[in-house]
Amino acid sequence: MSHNPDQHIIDKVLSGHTRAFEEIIERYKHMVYTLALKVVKNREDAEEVAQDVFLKGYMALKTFKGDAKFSTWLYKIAYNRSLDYVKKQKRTLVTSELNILKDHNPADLENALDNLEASERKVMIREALDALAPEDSVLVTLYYFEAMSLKEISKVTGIGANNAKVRLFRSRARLAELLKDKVAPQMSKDYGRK
Amino acid sequence: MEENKDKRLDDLIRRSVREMGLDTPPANFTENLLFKIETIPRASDAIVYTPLISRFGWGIIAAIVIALGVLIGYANPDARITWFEKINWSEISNVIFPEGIPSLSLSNTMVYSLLIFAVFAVVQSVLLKNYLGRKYAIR
Repeated sequence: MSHNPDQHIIDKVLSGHTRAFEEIIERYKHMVYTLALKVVKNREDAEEVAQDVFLKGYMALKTFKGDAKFSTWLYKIAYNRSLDYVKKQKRTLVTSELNILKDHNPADLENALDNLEASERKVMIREALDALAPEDSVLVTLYYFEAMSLKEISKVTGIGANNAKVRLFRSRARLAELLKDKVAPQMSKDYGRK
Repeated sequence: MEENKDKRLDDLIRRSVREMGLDTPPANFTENLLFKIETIPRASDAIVYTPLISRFGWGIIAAIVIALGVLIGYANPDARITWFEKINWSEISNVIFPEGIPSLSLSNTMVYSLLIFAVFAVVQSVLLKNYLGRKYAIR
């Protein structure tokens, strides 16, 4: 028996119940759209790519063997389609800067972030994430939001698990740097108060 | 110490990313998509190309032709196609070319250039076919 929680919906769709695919769309549309947006960096384009991903997924549903999670299979399509879209538009992806990381204290950053209003904090985190290279932003989202293992991330992105681990480490440090720069005024204010 | 810092940063980033949440596609995303999906012709509805004579059919035809050839050969070893020998070829060529077959003499340079042109035309048609095939492929 399959351990895939989506398998019964997939079977239903394959047996001709097209409308059953709605459940799949509803379940994954946010992540697929987010991944596309991280790469193409534009809401209209991300919508087009996300629609294309589900269409491709629907048409290729027969080829889904169930040896990986359905989400991994779908996110792989999303990632590849997004990269293809950028390539088609003859745009180039911004590559990650390899900064030498300064020593940082997560506790200070955490305090400064906690002192912000939730909405302000969200904006800062979003801006910091957007400043990462698209591939790194995808890695961070899959690892931290979707709680995917390095092996699964490797399946989605096609980069090796070790490479993914190194890139995640760098992205985390880079995010900390970016967030620190953004909340620096707040941190100095707090420091003055102490 | 450094490990603790990394762990703390890891937790902080996890918490931050989760707090930020995912982006939301436009409200009519699902409806638009379902509409598109319902207009896709199903694979079972499409007319699938099937050759008029199947591979099996061609196999049978080939077997019959070979068997007939072998059978005729064995049955009458002196068999000759008499009607073919009766054709007067010079008469036919006179009908097609009443003034005799024109002689065409080409210089070596011309022959070489025609040959090179032919090679390029063949190569280009293959390359063009692949290029256009890729460009207009339905994915």
